[in-house]
Amino acid sequence: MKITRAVAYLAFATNLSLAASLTDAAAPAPQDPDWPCEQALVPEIPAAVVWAGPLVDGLSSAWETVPDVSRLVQRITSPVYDQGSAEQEIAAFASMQEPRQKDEMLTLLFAGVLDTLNRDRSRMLQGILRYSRGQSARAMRLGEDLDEIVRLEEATTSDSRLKLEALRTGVLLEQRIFDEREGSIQFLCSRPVAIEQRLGFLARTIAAHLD
Amino acid sequence: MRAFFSRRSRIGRYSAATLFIACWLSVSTGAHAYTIYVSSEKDNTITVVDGETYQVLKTVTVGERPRGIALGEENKVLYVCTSDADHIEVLDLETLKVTHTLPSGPDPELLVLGPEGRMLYVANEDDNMVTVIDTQTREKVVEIQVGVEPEGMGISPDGDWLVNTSETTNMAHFINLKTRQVEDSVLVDQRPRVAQFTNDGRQVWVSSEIGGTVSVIDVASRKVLKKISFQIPGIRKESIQPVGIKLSKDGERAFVALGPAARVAVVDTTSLEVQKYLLVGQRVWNLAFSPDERWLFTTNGVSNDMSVIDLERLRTVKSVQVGRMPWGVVVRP
Repeated sequence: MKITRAVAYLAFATNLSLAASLTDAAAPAPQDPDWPCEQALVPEIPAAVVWAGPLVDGLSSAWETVPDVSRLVQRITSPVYDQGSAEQEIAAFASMQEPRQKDEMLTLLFAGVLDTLNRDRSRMLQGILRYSRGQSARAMRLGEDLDEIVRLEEATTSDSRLKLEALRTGVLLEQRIFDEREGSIQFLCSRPVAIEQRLGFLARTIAAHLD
Repeated sequence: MRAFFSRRSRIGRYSAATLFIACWLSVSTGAHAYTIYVSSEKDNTITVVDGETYQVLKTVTVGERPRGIALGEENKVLYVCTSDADHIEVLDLETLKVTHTLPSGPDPELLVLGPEGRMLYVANEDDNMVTVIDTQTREKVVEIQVGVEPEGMGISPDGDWLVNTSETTNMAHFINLKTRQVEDSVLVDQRPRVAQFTNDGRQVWVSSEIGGTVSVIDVASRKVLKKISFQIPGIRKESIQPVGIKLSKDGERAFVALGPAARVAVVDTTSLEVQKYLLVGQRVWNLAFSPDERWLFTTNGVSNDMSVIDLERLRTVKSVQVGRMPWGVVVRP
């Protein structure tokens, strides 16, 4: 019976069950023990990582009040919107602005992009954490079932043998589900990176139009 | 609308435009007769970049998940840690073909060649070993047990000491290369990534990714002289993750890649204070100098590019798109 991967999870899962219950509703804390990805957890991408332009402090809700900006943010931050079209729309937006207001409007646009993509990314991080916690819980259950198998193997009654058989079948199935879900973690971990890449691309594109 | 902007600084306006135009458009950077090699762990490639024009000359497919790379055999070959293939691939730099593999043990991540040019030291992340390989006989010589998840590999200029960092144990292990035994371990901050000796061999610098610091260790006493920390306006501590380190030959400056902070820190090696932060691509990971140390190249794992830093002006002047998730970088004179 292939159980090593699940068993290896057990000590880890035991330590983190309390932490998981405490952080369910909160934003992911730095280096949350449930975080399954190789890259260290960074809960939010700061503007300064991708933007050397005017400060965006205080603009986090302002951009939503300007319809042109809000609509453009919604379109260009969509994961299905292609980069070429985003470049064209940003260029058109920049060319429409009054010269004295152009940088302000572009900065507002960047603030909207940053807010929106950080919000999307945060939701994604929470999803990855939930997934990882589900795996930990599954590993815990597998461990308990394995203990029960050991106990039943020592019993001699026919009822015990029937229970043992059923439990072995169940563990094999659970193990398979566990392994399949494990295989998805690497892909899940690549999703926040895709958002960071889009943020970087949009920030550079917007900044190229600053005076 | 203007009210939204009344509090903001406008100082960065022109510098922002200048920086980004400089970064993302082609600029003239002078003549350099050398070649840059970048490993990309997601594409399984080595990108070959001309050091004069910064044009990508060729993209070579190698084994799965290439990460650490090092030049060998008088710069005629490139050793590539193909981590998921569980071996080292040897790339002939004239033909750009993989000629053979070396037995590294599982999950080789980083490697360093001894100054004698023969022994290769490899960190095996999955089995807590440093593997020593004889590149002439192409055989594994010995495995040295170290801490959990070995990573950084720094070798002293005289070849007497190897410092290996272990990500989980949070230690820098001093391995005597004559006896091949761990003789000392120095506690550093969380998730140490890279170890780099100074050119005089008196200090070893160790970056700690999660701890957010670089520990400067005195080799003779094995004491931490200073932990350098980094503060960047507008960037929270958790985004500042030191990884790659390069120390200039003249011993005056160090450069530290700060991961998701997208900055390279310039450190004065006398005062051990940060002089400046340079904006580069997203998730900057490893660094390499040009042979004359006029330029510094960075691999940026999220923006999939290599930034070119002018070390005279201390400015990022260009971005070169390479493969996905670029990791290691070396320069062949």
